[in-house]
Amino acid sequence: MQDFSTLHEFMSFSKGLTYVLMGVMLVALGGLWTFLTSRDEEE
Amino acid sequence: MSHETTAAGKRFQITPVRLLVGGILLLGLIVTFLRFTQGLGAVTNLDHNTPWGLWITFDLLCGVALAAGGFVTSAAVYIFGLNKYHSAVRPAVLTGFLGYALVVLALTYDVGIPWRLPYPFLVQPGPSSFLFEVGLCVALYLTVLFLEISPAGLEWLGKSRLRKIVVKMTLVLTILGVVLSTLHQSSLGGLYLIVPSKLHPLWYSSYLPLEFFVSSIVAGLSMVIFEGALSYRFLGHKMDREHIQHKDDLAIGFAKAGSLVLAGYFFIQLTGLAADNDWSYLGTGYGAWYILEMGGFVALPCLLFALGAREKNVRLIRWTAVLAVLGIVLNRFNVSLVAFNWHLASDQRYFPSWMEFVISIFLVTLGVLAYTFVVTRMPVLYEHPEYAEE
Repeated sequence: MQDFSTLHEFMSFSKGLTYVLMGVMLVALGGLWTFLTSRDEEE
Repeated sequence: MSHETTAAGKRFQITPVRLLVGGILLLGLIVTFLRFTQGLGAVTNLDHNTPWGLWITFDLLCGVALAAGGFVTSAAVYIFGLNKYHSAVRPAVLTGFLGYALVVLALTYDVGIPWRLPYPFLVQPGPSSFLFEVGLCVALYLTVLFLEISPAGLEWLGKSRLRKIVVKMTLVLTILGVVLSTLHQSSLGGLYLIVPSKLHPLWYSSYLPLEFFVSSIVAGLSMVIFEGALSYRFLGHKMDREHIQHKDDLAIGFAKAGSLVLAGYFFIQLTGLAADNDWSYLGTGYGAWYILEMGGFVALPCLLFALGAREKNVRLIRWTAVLAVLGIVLNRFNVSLVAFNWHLASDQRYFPSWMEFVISIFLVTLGVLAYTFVVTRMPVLYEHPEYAEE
């Protein structure tokens, strides 16, 4: 497990990663939506 | 092996399935008698470490999640205006009603003194408790579901005036159903927020209420697809043209929604891991089990639903719905049994007795019988000819 000396370090790491994940999620959900609907639009 | 006998002037065939159902009912009644005469200790392996066992995990947590098809389908049709799924509303609401009725029945087995089930409302309310909210919402939602499905019964009984009154309340009932479901589906997850030291960190998260609610939508969508396929196979002769015509559209539409919601659920789970920095647990045995749940029963059905919806492969969608339902069941088992009390030595861990399994199977059998009884008599899978124009 990664060592953290202070609560600030822990929060910076975990929150930072969470924000990165949120960004990935936004892009991924957009991609999934395009994948799901693109063929309908072609038809 | 089947021999014939007569009952009420009708030919009644004894088939292997009927024999099996009869055996389950008989065994269930015997264990029910033991439970209510000898107490919980005589039929369960529950103890002070695990006071909530299989009946809570399967009959309640899984039962409530899998009965979510009612509010999901009626919200899609009456709130979001997706009228092409209208034919799925009644079967979904009926499944929801029977599911919740069986949840309440299962609770009478699990509550030590069953006749005190109404105590939280009448004698000792605990309005600050999640359990109070769950109890209140389940009681209210069961009433809402009863009212939502009652037009089918009223059409069958020919009570058109009463039916007209109930039908006028459809939108209000749908909104109530969505509100109550949002509250209690999430509160069931909220119940586990008070056990951070008992529940394994991979499953414990402050997002548990959100995870339970979002996964219940997946369960609802998947159950409607799965149940639609079963109804077509075994009760297809009861379906009218509209039901048969729209069944594939329904599967494809719900698969799209299921894929998106599963993707959201996957990211909520990841967010829980990231916020608590639980990554290191992924390398353990429990971690492997968690990866299996997330990979095999969340990410995989998400991709398969997406592929099935894009390729319009209804067969793939139906099998994926089974996988997604199993995933939700696995999640509820993991949260409330497998990863619960994970610190305890294996000889102190709970494993259900055979009689607990009998009661759970007995209740599912009752549900299937009740569903078959209703759909073979009332206009659930077809429009009543007198009201088809509405």
